[in-house]
Amino acid sequence: MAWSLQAVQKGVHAMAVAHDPEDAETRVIHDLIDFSGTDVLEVGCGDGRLTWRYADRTRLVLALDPDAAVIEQARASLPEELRHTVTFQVVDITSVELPLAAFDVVVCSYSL
Amino acid sequence: MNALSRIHATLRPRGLLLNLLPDTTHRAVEVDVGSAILRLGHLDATLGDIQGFHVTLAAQQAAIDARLFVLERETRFMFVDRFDTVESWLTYVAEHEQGVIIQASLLARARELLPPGTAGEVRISSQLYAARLWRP
Repeated sequence: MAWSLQAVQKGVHAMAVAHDPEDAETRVIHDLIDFSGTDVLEVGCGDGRLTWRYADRTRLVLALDPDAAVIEQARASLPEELRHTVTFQVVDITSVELPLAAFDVVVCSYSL
Repeated sequence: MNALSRIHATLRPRGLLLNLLPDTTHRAVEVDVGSAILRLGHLDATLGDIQGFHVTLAAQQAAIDARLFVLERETRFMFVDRFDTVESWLTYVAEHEQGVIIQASLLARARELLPPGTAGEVRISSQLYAARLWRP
């Protein structure tokens, strides 16, 4: 099992957490949605935790979150191979106009 | 214009909405001490958690009733978050889940079973609701 290190320090010890190492969430979202070649809007993307689970199959992803700090984390964590696919933006969708009929899939992660 | 109306407008016809929603009312705490996995209890859900989950489902249903979306499939599944120490868990909660209520007796038991330097992990199992809807 791969542990991911949180950017947390207490004394000299780094803390380790593994979110869903069995990939249950990944299996479910791919069972529900075929992301192949799609244009995706993700609402409430946070630090990209969910984005990494499907973005490699898409044509493009626009991932939004109103929290600038987590968007900064997401941008810093963006894998090189996804840099031409995924765009993170600080946006509150309740206060902006989104482009009409622009996406094949909208992913709402803990955000409605 | 609420969020679901905006999402409806930005989707192409027959586009899909994937709605993921944690049901934080059912979160079990276990400790794996290597030789055994011991269930310690549950995290208490706040009133906000309970209300938030049902309010969100109600908003989804309202969008369906308004014919913005058609519900095709929904499912619930469990996933587990694992922490290498009790302190890792508490640090994560303090940073990401400030509203979580951990019973003192549960925390004491976790610390007793998994003292610092002991190999093992704290496991938090949670239920997630997932729905696939399409835009007519």
